Amino acid sequence: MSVVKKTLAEFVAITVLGTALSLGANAISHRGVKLERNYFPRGQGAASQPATQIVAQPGTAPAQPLGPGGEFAAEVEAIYNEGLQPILHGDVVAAFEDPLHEMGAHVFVDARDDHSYALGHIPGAYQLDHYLLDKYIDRVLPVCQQAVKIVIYCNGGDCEDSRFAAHDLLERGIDPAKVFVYPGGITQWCENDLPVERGVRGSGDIVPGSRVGGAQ
Amino acid sequence: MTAEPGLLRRLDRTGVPIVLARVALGALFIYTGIEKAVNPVDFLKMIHQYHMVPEQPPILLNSMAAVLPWLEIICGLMLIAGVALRGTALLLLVMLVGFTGAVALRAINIYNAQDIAFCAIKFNCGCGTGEEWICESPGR
Repeated sequence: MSVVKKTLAEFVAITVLGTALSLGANAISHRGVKLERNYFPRGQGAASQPATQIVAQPGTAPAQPLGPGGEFAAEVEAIYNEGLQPILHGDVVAAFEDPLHEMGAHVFVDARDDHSYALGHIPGAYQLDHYLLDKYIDRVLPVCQQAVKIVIYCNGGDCEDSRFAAHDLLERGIDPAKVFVYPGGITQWCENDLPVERGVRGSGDIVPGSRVGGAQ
Repeated sequence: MTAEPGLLRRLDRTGVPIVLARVALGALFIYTGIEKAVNPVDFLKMIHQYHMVPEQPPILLNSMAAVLPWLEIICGLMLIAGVALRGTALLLLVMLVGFTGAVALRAINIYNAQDIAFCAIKFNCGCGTGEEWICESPGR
């Protein structure tokens, strides 16, 4: 057999066997990727509200108009297009400072990974890492079922994990009317020097956001 | 009458340089493979950011994230062990050409979208080495 033929035969054999072995290793690994799972859910299609319409929330008016030309216009449109509702910074702060937050009726959900969450999250926010859903969902779901308003965030800007986490909640029966995605995310929160909690939830280690600096 | 072979040729004939090169390259692939295999979901997020593989059906992206890190480790081990060297080298070459093309395309996409200097482009390529400049770090 010529060198070329032999090389090609080896190439095919290694590709096939290597792929099989790799899939086996991935299946055994408890951190492996679940092959069938849709890690990037986009919801059920377009929202019932067009992107230009202002979301009317009971008792509150949005701090700024949502939609084209407004704050985080592209992100707001993407949130609508996935059938979700955006919430802008002013309303997020209002929801945070509302006594309902203290009572557990306003819930904040941090959709980032362990490392980012530990560096600093909105005080009292529950972590829901969409990619490791099994680890967090049992803790977060009952809290969200009791809540009247759920604010989900990630780093802010073009990060999509808050939207994915929102879909996780909707798929598990949480009322879409109370789920809000904060497009500014932790970056905008920290830029406004609002308090962040470091470490685990309820650690009491609260520092100004400017000391954490948002996206990590 | 044959001329005395040059130093490099004589060194090559000892077989030592090829072994060193194999071990170094194999170790590199094992290292970058392990970096990804310990957290394949992070790797999945990174290859998703390339927007070059369709999101649906999910198994396309998922199997890439599941297979590529382990395939690098396997190829690295085979390079070091010296088993099926040419076939392994060809597979690595095919993967590297693919990765290089993908990184270049993504850089061009960022360049077109963001209107910044080409060498100011920096992203985590998902290669296992963290965030990297697309060319040499600019002006530093």
